[in-house]
Amino acid sequence: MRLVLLILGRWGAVFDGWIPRSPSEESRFRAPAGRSVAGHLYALRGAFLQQWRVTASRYQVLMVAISQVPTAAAAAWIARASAEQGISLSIAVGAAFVVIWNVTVFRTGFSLLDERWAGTLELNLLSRSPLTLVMLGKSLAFVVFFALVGLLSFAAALLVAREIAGIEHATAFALSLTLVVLAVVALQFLFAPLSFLVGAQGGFFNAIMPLGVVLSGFFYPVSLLPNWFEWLARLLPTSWAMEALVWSINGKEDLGRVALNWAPAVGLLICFALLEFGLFVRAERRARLSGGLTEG
Amino acid sequence: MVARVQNFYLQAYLSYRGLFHWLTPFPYFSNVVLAPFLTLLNFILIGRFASVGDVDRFGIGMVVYAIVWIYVGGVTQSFSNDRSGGTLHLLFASPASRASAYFARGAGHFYNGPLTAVSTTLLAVLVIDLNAGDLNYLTYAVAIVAVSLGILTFSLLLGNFAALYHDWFLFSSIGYGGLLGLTGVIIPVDRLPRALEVIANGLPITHGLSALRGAFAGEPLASVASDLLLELAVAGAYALVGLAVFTFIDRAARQRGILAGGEE
Repeated sequence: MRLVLLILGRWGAVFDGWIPRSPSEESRFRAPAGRSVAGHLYALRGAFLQQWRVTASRYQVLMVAISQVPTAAAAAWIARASAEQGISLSIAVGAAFVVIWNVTVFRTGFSLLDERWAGTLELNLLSRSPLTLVMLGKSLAFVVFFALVGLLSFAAALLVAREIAGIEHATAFALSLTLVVLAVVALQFLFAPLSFLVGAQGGFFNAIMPLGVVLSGFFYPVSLLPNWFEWLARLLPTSWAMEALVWSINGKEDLGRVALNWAPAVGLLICFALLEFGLFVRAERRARLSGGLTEG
Repeated sequence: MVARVQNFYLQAYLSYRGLFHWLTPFPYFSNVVLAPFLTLLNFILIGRFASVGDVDRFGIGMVVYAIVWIYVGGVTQSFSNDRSGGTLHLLFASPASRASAYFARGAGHFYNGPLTAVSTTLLAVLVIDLNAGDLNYLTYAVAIVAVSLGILTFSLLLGNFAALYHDWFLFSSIGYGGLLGLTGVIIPVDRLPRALEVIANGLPITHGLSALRGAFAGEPLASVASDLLLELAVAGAYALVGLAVFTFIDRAARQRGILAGGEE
């Protein structure tokens, strides 16, 4: 446990180094139009580090280990009985993404609520950086931290499955993996405004977590879903990217077919990003006009 | 006697209505119907993806796990909310029967177990063709009630710790994770390492699930009676241990003045 936290702590420190810290450093990045790109990066970094420091704790690692690892182990036990190639590795990779999804999906929105209760949300709005960027920094902190913790589920699944298959198309695997990560970030970021609006209403979101797991196809290609479920799943970038990831592991489809899945994944990612940006801009504008952010 | 029954009913009703925060329409539907079914669907599809043959095995396991979902989450949060809401110390200050107060905290939740098991079974049959052609309804009903009692008394025990440590997420996670991994819901108990197999035999679900599998295979009640009796014995043991822990916490709270409104 100590080792895990030490490694996670070091990871947090890594992000300290890559973004300017002072105005003089910022000036090097200043855009010609007068807008400070560096200032925005500074805000992104600040939001990331603030959320990282709040989140990265022994308790969080323990909670994930207790609540998520048994699911990964159970899924891997089923995969163990399979005679097909690459099933165990697909399940293990999927188990790590299940952790990221289940744990982070509402955290960004809840962190907004926390800021509201603490009275610091107004300070975010006073910043010249858009609220979207600040929230993206927080969201990335959640995803990076729980991706690292998700490696526990990955390791547990491999341990139970007792089989590590090779990856048939390594380059396609790397690209698909990147796409899945981006898709998960986009998907969970979409829920930030929703969870902020609904609030921490007990149990409201408990069905959305398994629904996201099913529709994203973290454990299996979504073509296995009942028809109307598959139709819904195809609206999510995660389902296309995960399917490509599974094929790149087991080699059931050639590279051309894998690449065909990337196109809708990228397209949907762009649509999600635009939608999220639009929603945040509207929410921010409404908050500024109504001045209704202060708790109570 | 009548007054005692009325008092028990009142406590059960008030603690259920006041402390169970999933009791509004969408959260309730989400936790009783949607989430358990989607979890079942997930494991069935993992089985189909892995081409392991009898995936209904996982489906029947997840029908029981639906009960875990609603009881463990519901009861542990009720205990925790009792403390954080500042009402637990009022109970400790009162002369009320501790046994009555303890079991009343679970009684209101009881109907949720059979309800979620039945709704999950129905959805599984309708949506993903869980085979219920040979189902023996009587065995099914008795097995569901027995398993529900076992999980409920286990949840009450966890609830004690949720109140003591002021953290129901941790203890509900222990319940969810432990019961998923160790009771044969997915991984058969006889395939576990020896030490874990011993633990599994002392957990709720393990014996009742065998009876439920028998019900789906069309077995009459008499042929699964031994499993059901073992499940009820486990439930009884958790009820006694849980009550002992509750009484211990009550005494400690009185002597040390803790558990008042969440501050120690």
